Amino acid sequence: MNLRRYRSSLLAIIGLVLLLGYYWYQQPLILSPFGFRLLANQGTTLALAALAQLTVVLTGGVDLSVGAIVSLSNAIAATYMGDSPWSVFGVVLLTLGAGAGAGLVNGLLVAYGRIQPIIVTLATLYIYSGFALLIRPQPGGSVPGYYASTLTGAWGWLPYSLIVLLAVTLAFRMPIMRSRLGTAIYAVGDNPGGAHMSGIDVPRTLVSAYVIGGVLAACAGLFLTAQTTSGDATVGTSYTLNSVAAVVFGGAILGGGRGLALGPIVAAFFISIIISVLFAAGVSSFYQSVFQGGILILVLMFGNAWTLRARNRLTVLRS
Amino acid sequence: MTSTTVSSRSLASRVSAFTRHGVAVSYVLLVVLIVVAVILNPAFASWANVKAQLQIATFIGIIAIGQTLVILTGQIDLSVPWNMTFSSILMATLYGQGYGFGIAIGAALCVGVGVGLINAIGVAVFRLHSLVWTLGMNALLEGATMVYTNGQPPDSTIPGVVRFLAVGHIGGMPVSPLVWAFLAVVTIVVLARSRFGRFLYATGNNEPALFLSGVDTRLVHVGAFVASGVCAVIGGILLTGYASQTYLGMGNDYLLVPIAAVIIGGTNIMGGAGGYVGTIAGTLIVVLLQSILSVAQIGQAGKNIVFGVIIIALVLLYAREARPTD
Repeated sequence: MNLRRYRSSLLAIIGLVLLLGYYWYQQPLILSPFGFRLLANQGTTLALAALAQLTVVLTGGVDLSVGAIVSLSNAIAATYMGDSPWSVFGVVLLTLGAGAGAGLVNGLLVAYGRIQPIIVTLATLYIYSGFALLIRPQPGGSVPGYYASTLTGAWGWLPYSLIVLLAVTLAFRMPIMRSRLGTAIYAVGDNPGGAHMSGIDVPRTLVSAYVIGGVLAACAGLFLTAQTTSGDATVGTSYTLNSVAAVVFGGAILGGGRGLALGPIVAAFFISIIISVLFAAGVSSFYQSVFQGGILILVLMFGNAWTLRARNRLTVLRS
Repeated sequence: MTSTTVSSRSLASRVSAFTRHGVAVSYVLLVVLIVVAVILNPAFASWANVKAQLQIATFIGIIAIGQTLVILTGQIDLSVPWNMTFSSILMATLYGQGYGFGIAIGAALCVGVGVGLINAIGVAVFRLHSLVWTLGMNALLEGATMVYTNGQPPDSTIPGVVRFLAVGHIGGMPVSPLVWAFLAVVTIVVLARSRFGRFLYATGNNEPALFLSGVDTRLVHVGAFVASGVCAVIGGILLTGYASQTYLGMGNDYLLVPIAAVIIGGTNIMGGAGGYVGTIAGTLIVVLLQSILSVAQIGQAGKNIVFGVIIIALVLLYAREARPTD
């Protein structure tokens, strides 16, 4: 295994380790099966949303509709799930299908409509949140107890949420990213013209990436539903910003072509847990946004500090 | 998000032809919408209603000024919502604490300039993506607002001048659309006639080229983002006067709508082409659309869906990119 590949994730890993160390110092109880489960549950939704965002960012785009797809999945799941295992199974499939459909629309508009990803997903953000509101005009709905406990429970020290995250990452996303399609996604993000010249079907690759992103965002919505056990058409709003932040903090480049899953996942846990850490440290909850925004800004500046040392501003401009 | 480089003259003229087309399309659509609105409800054409619509359009239109300048350089300003909320609350509470009108407004404007400067530093010096950087700024400002107000609805006193600017009348004419008209004329003249205006377009088209022609492009970004920060503050202050209160989250509806107005008005989201003339049409279209949907008794859900579909339809009409294979 070549560890060098993971250098871009290093900042996020160091951040999370320091954060958890401090949290443990403040609140030794987190090192218990219960505390561990809590920590794992806190970050999983955002980690899944960050994976969705990463897949799109790798193609050189950005998906502002991630939050809306999370809300839509949450609305569908909490409204239609019912009680019997079969209806749960059906609705989970329906939700994943809705996520795939949402991603498909994004992808078709970007690839064949030739519209900037940021405009497409800004517009579909409205559309998907509109559908979420249609399905669930008021917060409410429910999911069966066993659905929630299957996803958020734990077996001793092993939280089920981590298994879910690992399963989605290793059994769904990794095989795709290691396949020909995955290589094509990196290639298109790095240099669309070059990818086209090498015989890659650029539009089809783009559509696939957005569909994968949609499915992953729906996974995030399904997990969130297990956590909240109810539906709310606006619950996903914050996941758009936070998923972009996790992807950038996790070492991916917002121009495409570079980024691994590990960094954004770790960064997602960092961003999710920091709120509880601040709370445990006795910081007033009013300071949460200050810290969240401030840390994001500092991390971004730190990551790009080389621009200050560059002799020739032209290299900076062209980067 | 690659930057488009305009390689040849023919491409450049084609791009500008496209944009003119976009501006024309947006005005045609505006006329169509007005006709539809009047057919749906003849009372729509009444002076009272026109005044009401113009007043709502003022906030969006003024915020869209800053957003147009920033988008022309190829960036975007997502720090608008909490910038306007924080500065408006600061203005109203300072005035309520007995500070003078000038100090209250001055403090709010300083917030706008400061936010614009920090945005520009991140984008121009650290070369960070404005999408992420300004979102981070927005979160920071949200936090600042929460800390400043302790999360409670702020105790606000609205200066009389602000009330007058927002809802007053001069000889039967509402004042706030006049403020908008004045700022719009200044913006259009600056964009068309001034050196700064040209630099804005040039930065959006090809920043390295502008740098090589001896222009410090960092200052162009500073100009655009400071203008956007100040426009957000002015929009927020007018909104405060209109609602005669400040509240947490008052800016949340003013992030995506002005951006939609800029895009509908035919300005290229990647920068370099477009202008405020189109944004005016875009603003009026957005406001009309919202009002038609309200009159047709379509709920928030339907509004969101129709709004999104229309943005996509318009962009498909006139803002598609060239094929990569061309």
